[in-house]
Parts: sequence; structure tokens; C-alpha cells
Amino acid sequence: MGKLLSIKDLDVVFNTFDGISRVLRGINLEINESEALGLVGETGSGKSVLSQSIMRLLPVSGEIVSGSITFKGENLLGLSEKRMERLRGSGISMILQSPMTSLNPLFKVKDQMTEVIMTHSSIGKKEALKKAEELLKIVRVPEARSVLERYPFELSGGMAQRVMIAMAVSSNPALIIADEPTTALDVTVEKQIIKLMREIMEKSNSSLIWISHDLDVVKQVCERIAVMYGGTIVEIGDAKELLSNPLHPYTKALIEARPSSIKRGKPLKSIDGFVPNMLKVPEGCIFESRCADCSERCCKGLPPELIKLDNGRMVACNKFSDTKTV
Amino acid sequence: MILVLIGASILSFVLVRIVPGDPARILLPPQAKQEDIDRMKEKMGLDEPYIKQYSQYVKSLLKGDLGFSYHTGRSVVDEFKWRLPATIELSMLSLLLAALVGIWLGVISATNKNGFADHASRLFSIGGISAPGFWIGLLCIYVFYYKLSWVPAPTGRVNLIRETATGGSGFLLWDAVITGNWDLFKDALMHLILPVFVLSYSFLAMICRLTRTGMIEVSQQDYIRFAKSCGIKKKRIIWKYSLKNGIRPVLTMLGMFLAQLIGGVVFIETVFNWPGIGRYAVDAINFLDYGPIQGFIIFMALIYVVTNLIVDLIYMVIDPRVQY
Amino acid sequence: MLSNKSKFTYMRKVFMSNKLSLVGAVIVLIFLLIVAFGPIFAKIPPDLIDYDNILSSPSNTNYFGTDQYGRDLFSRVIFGARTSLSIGLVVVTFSTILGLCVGTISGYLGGSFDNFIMRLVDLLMAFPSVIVAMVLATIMGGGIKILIIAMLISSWTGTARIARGETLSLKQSGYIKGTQALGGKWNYILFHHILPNVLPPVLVSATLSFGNIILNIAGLSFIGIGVQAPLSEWGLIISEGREYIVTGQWWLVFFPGLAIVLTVIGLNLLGDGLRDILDPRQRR
Repeated sequence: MGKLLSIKDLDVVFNTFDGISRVLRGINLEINESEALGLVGETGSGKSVLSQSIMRLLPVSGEIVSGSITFKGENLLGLSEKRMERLRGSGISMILQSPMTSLNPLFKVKDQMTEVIMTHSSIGKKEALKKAEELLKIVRVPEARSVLERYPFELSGGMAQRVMIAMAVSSNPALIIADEPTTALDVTVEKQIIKLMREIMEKSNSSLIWISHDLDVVKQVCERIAVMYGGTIVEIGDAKELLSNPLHPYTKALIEARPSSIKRGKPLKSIDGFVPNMLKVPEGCIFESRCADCSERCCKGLPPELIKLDNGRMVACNKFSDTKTV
Repeated sequence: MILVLIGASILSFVLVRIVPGDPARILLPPQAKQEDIDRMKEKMGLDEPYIKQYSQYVKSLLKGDLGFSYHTGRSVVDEFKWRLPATIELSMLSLLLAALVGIWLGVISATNKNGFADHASRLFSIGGISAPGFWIGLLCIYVFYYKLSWVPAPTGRVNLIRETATGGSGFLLWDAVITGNWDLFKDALMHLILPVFVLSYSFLAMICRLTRTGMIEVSQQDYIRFAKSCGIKKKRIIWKYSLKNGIRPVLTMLGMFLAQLIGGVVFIETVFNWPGIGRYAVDAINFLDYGPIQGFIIFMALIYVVTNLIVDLIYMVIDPRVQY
Repeated sequence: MLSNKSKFTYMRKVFMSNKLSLVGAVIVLIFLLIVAFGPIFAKIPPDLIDYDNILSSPSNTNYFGTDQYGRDLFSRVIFGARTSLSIGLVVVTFSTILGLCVGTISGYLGGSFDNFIMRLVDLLMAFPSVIVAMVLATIMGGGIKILIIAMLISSWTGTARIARGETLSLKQSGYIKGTQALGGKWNYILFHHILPNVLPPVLVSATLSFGNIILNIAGLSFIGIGVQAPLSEWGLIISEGREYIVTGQWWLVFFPGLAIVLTVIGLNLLGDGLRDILDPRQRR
């Protein structure tokens, strides 16, 4: 299977009042066709910025400084805005975090859906309406017809999220980026959405990037997981293997910190220290200040690169850099 | 709202009785004969208790009798009927101009930060809030009439030596169009240009600023981000989606705009000799013509109530979340 | 807590760095000087009638030209400044005090009293000051007295709203409740805690509304209500020179209006600068 999306040495900065914030440094990531990848990291790790960079929808202060993002053989960073617009929604779609604020409150559901459908195809309004209804059925929205006539504020969180998903898959995109799609939903609804996404993945050959801070959610949908910290990717590997045998100290700490891994009655584990300041990126490994396992060379020189190990796992840690390099 | 109307009627009722002098005499021209005064006295029921007088007054109000203007020799209602279209034509066109240009400039300056439109709108807004409308009006007359002769003299709605369209609605532009009188149309239009522009000036600045702020705020919203990620074209997003959401601050201020418009109209009508209600009121005060002043108070209250209703209605149409 | 001295130093620094507000402050200062020492600048008395010199354009002797009676416009504008600005000052002072009191008390007491006051404020704000002034003028005739009263009625509402808003948000804050719980008396709370915090935004609003008041004074005098001849006031001067615009004597209208514009711009810039130092939350 060919590589659908290939990110090489991506550097992204934010130009802020107080200086340049280097939010992404040397990102290397690949996604295959029909694959579901989980992107995990805490707030500030840069995972949302990564998804925005792929879509080239960074805020005004953001800037892609170097690197390449190749989608289906084309470098997205070299495309004109017009071509990028055509790609968005049809080749790559996004699902955002809070469904209630992601739909325009002044327009009915049917208007928003038909707008997206008609943007990427040449069908008329009536047919678009029919297609919208079908899409809503696919995402399991009950009483699709009446939902179409409603305004977003009349929907529940779960239903609004389904509408968003319907809009995102309406043109059968090759890649779907879901940026924390269930974070704002309560647990029962979350389960339903996870189930829905799995169904969609099974039925279509789209690829999925599921961004989350919650490992437990990600493991239910994704085959591979990439872990981010402080603007870099620290580990990538098969989901089951990574969770049972984490190699990077951060991944280990993250797994241990989950409420689900703690036995009842025992205190919750957290990771000591704070997320680093992107305005002043320290030398050496970015995780060094919080790492239980670090050594002398972790605070000097270049940060450890992402290295592929024999078992297919990729880690960015000095502990493993003595073994094979890519 | 009814309270406002009642309050206004009480105010105008009290008005005539507070002024030093005989209320009946006040409402009549200075050369009125004693018998006229007596008849007026009887009509107003001045010998009767105040409550009865008041109910008498309200009854006549409801019948549509707003009083008599001794200065012009016509009933107040007639005067209003004649002058109202002039004021409405002027103020509505101004508001329209201010809204269309203001919103357009606002959108452009929001989407092209620090571009030409941005600086232009900033200049506008400083001028709009610091320069008095009547001053701008007078200067414009000087530049565009006296120096450049681009517009006709400020003699009101049409040139002095012209017959106006008889009958019709009183809205000169409309009347001219439907009777096919293009001369009149051109004349009325030329006379309208300057006053409409000057009146709209300060509102234009405000509307532009408000739209800009609203649009910028909206552009940060999640639903705009999502729309972009779905591939909807940028132009469409700006003009269809962002705009509908971003206009809210303008609508919120709409009521205030209408009130300020009425205030501004008074000055513009004075400067341009426009035969509208504003100038009528000013004349009435300067000539101590109390009949129209009473009528004016009632009228203002009516306007206030009506405009509030209109603003509420507009809100209901635009924003589906608002329900009554 | 910074000591008072360092607070002032900080404020001074911020203020100085904002060039526009400095410009505003300078303008306002100039006008204040004119108000105080006006006659020194106006060498020619403003009511000196000179039929040999009517309607002459600006020159070295008459900086702003002369009007239809030969009076020097420059002097008239200067004396007009004294009238306009002093009336404005009176109005601003009283309306600010009134608004401050009503707003703070209304916000503090809350309940139906607050509701009633706010309805009243809404009602008043809906009527343009022109109309209010016109109604008053009919009852009591024209002149400075009713001008001041009319403007007072229309201007206190803005300050009241701001004062009330601040009071309300302060009321919610912990330390007011704490003081109340400790048995603090209402007048103590009002003067020691609420007032110092309400004062800065009110001052900003007062400066900004000063400009608006000047505009209204000029407008009303222009129409004929308000300041009347033989006194001089900018709006009045404009209305006196009005008919000569169509015959080309532009200076009669231009200069008094320019004075108005400069004053208002100066006050607005000053107000914005004050807002930046006193209430940084509102920074644009």
C-alpha cells in the first residue's frame, strides 16, 4: 500500500508578541491508505497545530518554516490556495472538537450540509438535499428529515457531532483528521461516536488521524499510535504493542498516568514538571527535565532523532540511538 | 411601550399649561380675537377639572387631532402629512447609504487588515465622531456647490422655480418615476445627494467600525474554521456566512442609530432648507408655536415605540435563537 | 500592592509611550489655556464692530477674517472657546457626579430599584439630546440655563451605566461579600471598596463624553436653542455665518467648526489614553 500522507522534517512557528514560538520541530510522520493513526499528546504538544498545518489552516500568526507535506504524491505546501480549497473537504476533511460551536448558529443544518455537498460536486440543491438525508442516515441520526430542518442549537452534542462527521465524509475523503472529536462529549455519547467512526473506517477506504489526549479512546479506533510531546514526535508504533510495551519514557509515564491503569484506592500518578516553554526551546531532548531515565547527553546538543527499531517501532530517545538508525 | 405613549401625552398636556400665560391664548396666533380665545377655552374645557381636560385631550388625540399651528395656519396633522415624506426620504436614504457602504467597507477592512480600506475607515470614523454634521454640511455646500457647481443650491428638495408633482405619495423620487417625469427625478436626486451624504457620514463611520469588529470576532469562531476545512470558498464564507454572524453589533445599535438619525435630521434639514419635520420643529420653537410642539412630542413617542418594534422584529428574523 | 508613587510612575510611562494620547493631552491643554488666558491672545476685542472691514478674508491682522459686522473672527472664536468649554465643563462635572451616584447606588442596591432606574436610563438614552433640549426650550425659553439642564438630563445616563456595571461586577467579587460577612457597614463598603474601583472607568467615560457634550452644545446653539447672541459660542458663530457660505465667505463657518473638531479629537484621544492606563482590560 502506498503512502497516502508523508510529512518530512516539518517546522512550524508562531510569531507572537513575545517572540517566536517553535511549536513543531522536525516532524516526520507517514500515513498509509486505509489506516487509522492515533495522535496522542497533552495540551501544548502541538497535535492540533499539526492537523492545521496539514490543512494549511494555521492562524494568522502561524507559519510553516520548512519541511514538506506530501499527499497522494503532491506537496501540499506548494499548492495554490485555490487548489488547497478544492482539496479541503474532498481529499482531506477535518472534524473539530466542539460540535456545538462548529456549526454556524444562524443557518439550518440542511443549508450547511448542502453547501458542503454542492461545493465539491456539481449536483443541484434538491439532489444535495437527498444526499444530505442519506448521509445523516449513515451516521445514524434518527429522524433525518426533521433534523435537517433544525438549527444547530436545537441539537444535542452527540447529534451535532454526527452532523459534522456527515459533512466531513460527504465527499468520500481519502484522509479524515479528527481533532479530539469526543473530548467535549459525555462518556455514553463518546462510546457511540467511537463506534460510528469504526464503522465508517470499515466501510470506506479512508484513512483517519484521530487526535486525542486520551490513550484509551485512541486504542479503540486506531491501529497505530504516534505520541507527541513539546512539538516533536517521540514514539510511533502499533497500538497494541505500544500500549503493552512503551519504549519512550514519556509514553511510559503517560500510560501509567491514566486513571484506568491505577488500582482502586491508590493515588493517581502524574508526571512531575511542566510542559516546556516553546519560546525558549532548550538544548538536547525536550523531555529531559521531566524524564526519570535521562543521562548526561540528554541535555546537550541536538535532540534525539526518531529512529526505527527492528520491530517496526519508532522512538526518539537517546537510550535507543545507539542501536540502528533509519 | 404604552407607558411611553401615555407619558408623552401627559407631557404635552402639561406643557401648554406650565408655560406662563393663558393656555388658550398660547395656542392661538397673537392677533386672535377675544371670541376665538373664548371658543378655544371652551374647546379645551379650561374651567373643568384637570382629569376631564386630560381625557378630552386624549380623545382628540385618538381622533387624530394633533393641534393647530398658528404660524403656518394649518393643522398640525396636515403639516405632518406634507412634511413627513420629505424627512423619511432623506433619513431612510441616508441610513441605507450608511448601511450599505458602511457594511461593505467594514467587511473589506476586516479581511484586508492594514489595507487601504482599513486606513480609510479609520479616517472616516475619527471624522465621523468629532465633526459636527451641520459643519460638514455647510463646508460641503461651499465646496460642491459654490466652488465646483456639482450640485444645485441648497433650496430644499427641488429648484425654486419648479412645479412639484401634485398628489402622489410625497416621496419625490417615487412620484417622479411613476409619472415618468425624468426632469423632476433628476432635480430631486441632485438635491438629495448632498444632504443624504452628510447625514449618512457619521453613521457610516460607526457602522463600518462595528461591522469590522464583528467580522474579526466571527473569523475566530469554530464554525468558520470548520467551514474552511470543508473547502467552502473564501469569498463565500466571508460574504454569506461571516457577514450574517458579524452584523450583530450593528443590529444591536440599530435602535440607537434610528434615534440619533432623528436628532441629526434636525440639523441637516436646517442647513439644507429641507421642508421636513425636523425643521418644522425648530421653527415652531423659535416662533413659540406651541401647537406643533405638542403634536411633535406625541409623534416622537410614536416613533420611539415603532422603531423599537421594528428592531425587535429584525432581530427575530435574523437570529433564530431569539424567540418571543 | 505597588506604592502610590510607583503606580503613578507606571501610569506616566504608559501614557507617555502612547503618542496619540500625548497629542490629545496637548490639544486639551492648549484649549484649557485659551479658556484661562484667552483675552491675552485675542488682541482685537471680539465685539468691535468695523463697518469698513466687513466680510474680509483671513489676513495678517485678522487671522480668521471678519464677519458681516466687521468683528474679528479669531477673537470671537477664542471667546467662544471660553463659553463652549466652560459650559461643557459644568455639564460634564455635574452629569458625572449624578451618574456616578445613581449608577453606584442602583448597582449596589439591586432589585426592583435597580430595574426601575435602568428602564429610566434606557428610555432617556433613546431620546436624542436635541429633542430633549427642544422640549425644554419650549417650556422655559432658550438660553444657557436650559441648555445646561437639557444636556445634564441626556448625559448622566452613560456614566450611570458604567458606574452600575462596575458596581455589579464588584458586588460579585469575593472581598465585598467577605467584608459584608464581617459586618462591614454599607457606607464603608461603598466609599472604601466600591468607589475607588468605579472611579477610573467613570473618569474615562467622562473625558470621552466631554467631546460629545461640546458637539451637542454647538449643535443646539446652532439651531437657536442654547447660547444666544450677543454671547459667542462656536455653534452660534457658525449659524451667524451660515448664510454667507453660498456667497463664498467660507472662513466664517470653517474656523469655529475647526475649533470644535480639534477639541473633540483632543478629548477623544486623551480619553483613549486614559482608558489604556486606568483600565487596561479594555485595551483594543
